[in-house]
Amino acid sequence: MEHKKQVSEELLLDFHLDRLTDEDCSWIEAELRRDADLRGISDRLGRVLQPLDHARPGPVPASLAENVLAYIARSTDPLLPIPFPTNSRDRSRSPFLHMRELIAVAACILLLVGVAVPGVSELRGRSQRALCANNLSSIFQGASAYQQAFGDSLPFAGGVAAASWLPGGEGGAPYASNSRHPYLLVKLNYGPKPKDFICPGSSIAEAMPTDQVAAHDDFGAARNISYDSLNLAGASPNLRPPVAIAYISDANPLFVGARFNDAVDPSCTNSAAHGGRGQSVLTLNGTVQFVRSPIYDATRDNLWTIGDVRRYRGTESTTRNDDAFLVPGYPITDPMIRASYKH
Amino acid sequence: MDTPTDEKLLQDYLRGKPGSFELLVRRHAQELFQFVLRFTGDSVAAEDVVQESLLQVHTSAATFDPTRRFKPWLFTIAANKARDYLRRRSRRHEVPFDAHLGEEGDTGRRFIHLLASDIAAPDEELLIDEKRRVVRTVLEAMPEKLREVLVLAYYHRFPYKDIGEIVDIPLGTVKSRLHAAVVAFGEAYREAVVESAKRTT
Repeated sequence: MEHKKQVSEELLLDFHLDRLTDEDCSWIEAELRRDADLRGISDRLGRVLQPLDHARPGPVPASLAENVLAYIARSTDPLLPIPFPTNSRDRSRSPFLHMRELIAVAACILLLVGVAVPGVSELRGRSQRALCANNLSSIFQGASAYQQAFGDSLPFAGGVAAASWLPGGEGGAPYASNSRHPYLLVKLNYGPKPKDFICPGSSIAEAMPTDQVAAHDDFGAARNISYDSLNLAGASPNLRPPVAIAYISDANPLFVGARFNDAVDPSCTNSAAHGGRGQSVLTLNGTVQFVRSPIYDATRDNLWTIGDVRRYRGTESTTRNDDAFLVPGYPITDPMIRASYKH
Repeated sequence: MDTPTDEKLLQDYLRGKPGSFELLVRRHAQELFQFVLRFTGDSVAAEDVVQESLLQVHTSAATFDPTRRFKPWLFTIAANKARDYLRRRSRRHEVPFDAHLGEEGDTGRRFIHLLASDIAAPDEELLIDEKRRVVRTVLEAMPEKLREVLVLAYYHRFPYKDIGEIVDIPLGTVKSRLHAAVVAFGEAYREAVVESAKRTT
């Protein structure tokens, strides 16, 4: 009897998983009609399996295949694997063919390096993303403390009438760097340190020396902040609550060298900080995510743009408090900015 | 026009036919992502594993045995990489399940023991979202070797033979492991539901 039940359990599972032939299914159904004990076991099994249907996986990223293909292209170029056709001819006596074998071995070694190096690089990338997320968490804690002290206002260093947030604005507009605002968290000791504004994925950024913080009203140089923050030009700094929009993230790729680069497609270009694979984003509700597209939330908001505006001169500003627009800050004390900017 | 098989596409790719590999990626990336996501419970890791797996297929295509089928080979690569990821993460505690598992993951428990004292199914009180959360939590807490067989069999409907190839175990072990996985899931789910019900009351 026990043997029969054990066998029935194996078959019952296959029956519930729809893995039996029609003939076996009919036989099991007949057994179930006949045997009340077996029917009871089958019911229990069905109730165990039924919840599994609730474990729907999360959404598949819309650009998954594109991301995979881009990743493969980056990882293999210029060592694209070339299938070698087999050659059955006798080639043992030709010194030229020995050379070909040497070349083949060298190619294999290069190929192995091509496979191994991205692996190491990937591990490093994950570590950098984790450190980057820690930075943004520190900034959020500082910003929260600031908001509590200043009636829910985001760090705000004051507005400058008709100012441009991009150096060299048109018509001699005054310049006001957007990085003055988050700099308040450092200057007023709300927690974040200068090093927290440097993404570990950035190769050129370096933290502002702490002994210089008190003497400045902004980061000392553009390289002292690798993150871009919510553009507060023309906007109310009080954005909390109800909205939870992006506040700070890795650098906006539309702006390179303090200039707007119109060759970049904002709809699909990630920050360069993490090898173009995505960007860490802090939202005002305290969430830090690594997102693989500039379109970052359910509202399909683009981190890098204001609505559909495609060109930026430095005078544009957000008109809606649910439209994130993250822009770089170029401190006026930066030697390059100081040299190029005409007061 | 007939849709080319995976194996044909891989052969075409090896012969240099443009677009063949891209078609393979587009055909399998989504299902592979869902498998790895269920296996690891982490969407960022799942995307990384999918990328790494398909990169390995790209670079190792010439080593593929054309007498075998492509999809189990692809899932074997992904399962190995997902296991590597979980080992690196190593934050999971599997003792509650492992403590009573035998050599092949067989608990010795049968379906007849499941929900044996169940008069009113406790999960009927749970909301759909809560059920989903509980199922996900239970699945993620299962030992890898049970979870992967359950996911491959239940969600991806791989034949037992393919599962054996992907997980590298004999056919008989696939069946006993799947049986053990269902029993383990059933028991853990019941406990989780009772806990959840206690919390809400």
